[in-house]
Amino acid sequence: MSTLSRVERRFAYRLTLPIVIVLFCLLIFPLAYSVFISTQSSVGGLEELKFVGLKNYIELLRSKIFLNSIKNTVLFVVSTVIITIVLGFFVALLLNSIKKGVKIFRIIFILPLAIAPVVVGLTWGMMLNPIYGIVNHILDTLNLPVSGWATEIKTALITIILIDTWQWTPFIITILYAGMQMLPKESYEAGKMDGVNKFQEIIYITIPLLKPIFIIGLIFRFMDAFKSFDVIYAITKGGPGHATETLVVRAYLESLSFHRLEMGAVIGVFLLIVTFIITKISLKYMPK
Amino acid sequence: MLEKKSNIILRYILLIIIAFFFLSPLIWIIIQSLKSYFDTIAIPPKILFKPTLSNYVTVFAKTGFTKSFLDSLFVTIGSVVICLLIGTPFGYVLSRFEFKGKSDIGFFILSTRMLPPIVIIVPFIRLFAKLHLIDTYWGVILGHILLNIALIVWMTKGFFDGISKEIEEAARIDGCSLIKTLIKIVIPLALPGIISTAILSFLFSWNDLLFALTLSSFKVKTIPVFMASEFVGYLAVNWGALSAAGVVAIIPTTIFIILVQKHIVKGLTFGAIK
Repeated sequence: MSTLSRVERRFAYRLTLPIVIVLFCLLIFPLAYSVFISTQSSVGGLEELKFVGLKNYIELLRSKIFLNSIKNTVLFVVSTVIITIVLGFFVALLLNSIKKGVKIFRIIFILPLAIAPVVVGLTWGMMLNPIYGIVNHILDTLNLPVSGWATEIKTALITIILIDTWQWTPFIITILYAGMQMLPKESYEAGKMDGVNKFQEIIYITIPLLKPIFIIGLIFRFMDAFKSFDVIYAITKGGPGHATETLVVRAYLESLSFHRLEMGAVIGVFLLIVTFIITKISLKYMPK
Repeated sequence: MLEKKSNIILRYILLIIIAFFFLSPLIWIIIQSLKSYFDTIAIPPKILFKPTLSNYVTVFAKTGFTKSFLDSLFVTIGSVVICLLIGTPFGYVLSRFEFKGKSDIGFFILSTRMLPPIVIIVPFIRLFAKLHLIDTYWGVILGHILLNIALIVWMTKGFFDGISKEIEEAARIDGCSLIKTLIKIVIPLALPGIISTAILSFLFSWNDLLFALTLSSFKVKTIPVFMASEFVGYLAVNWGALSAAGVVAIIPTTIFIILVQKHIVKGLTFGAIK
């Protein structure tokens, strides 16, 4: 791109200005305001805020419930990211190895991405209902142990992970399959000359060639899992107890259910810092 | 060259099992939506039953579902149109012009995709209360602008990249102004891509629960909020009606995702994968 003439530069600025103004009003200003709220106390009501410094931050760090929500977030994010990527890669490989019917399978594998997470949560909630649900009924018929799923402290988080896997594995399948379609045939022919078997082919040729796509998948999966709210809200609202309370759910409960906006803001500042770090790392590794 | 036939059959069997896993909730919600009330709570669950459309009648006649459907439509179309108006021009700038600070703004916009919405919702609750925007269309629309702006900027940038510069230069030589070239030449050429972008952002806005739940939920009630609040009582869930509403809610997005299938990879990865 050559240097711009004055007319062109003015034109480019004009096209940029609206989005900059909108994002300033909708993002920068509210975020700064959020940092302000996080240093206030709303005990006397939202209209009479009082400056309390870092008191809210200290209160939060001391609270077991907050530490529990960090633990849940880490468990949830790490498991769902690993499971969706491994399963998605496996399905993409299968899909790439067949000839007939690819089209119909591809459509089936993108459908979950279109379904509103609330509907996903409610439908799985229905299927996994311990008494009326079809899943326990099938397990029981097959003489397998049934489970309380989302209604039991022990299994609730695993159930949420399972549902998230259902919704987001298709994302990985779709991008990896698209990537496999573009891999150079020569690499595989060279591999065949060297006498590699199918397994070695995957390890030494397919995975290294797909590395950029794995990285993109990892970044997007990580952020979406980290942000996840709708399914958890629809199915458990953070319960039973605090078993499925992630940071996002906790921030929601603090600000909307307990009307302690300042505590929501403190968690928000924490999430903001994590997001900032992850975005920095992502941009460094993002293929371009 | 000859692959073992049993091997191929095994692959198809595996794929069919996996496809069934992904389809089963969709099949089940359709089945439930066609059951009478007592069939939905039968123990064991019924696979065979007398189908009825009564749940669909209930959903449209008795509850505020139709209003929610319109609320959703209004919020979604409003936010997508505004996003297109402010996002597409910058997508074009990202694709064509070079000036100081441009890529910073670009990456800044990308980072809005990374931010958990709740972080921005907390200050919104208070600011919107002061501005009387809580529980209005505008409040939710403003939230949904943040939801979609990064997608629109980066996806349209990708489509503008695919249009050759020579056409524009020819138009400029013919005396077209920059803005005229953009509106009369470039945008029509990029239109199919812009429409796919709009459809994909429609889908995300339509499906969102968090913004709609926190910034509205009484006077304005989008379908996800309606689904999460209306059918789930303290004592009982009306599964038949819930399922029927769910089916109606997912019909538009299901059609849309099949329509934009070709662009879905580009859209979901913001053009990082072509």
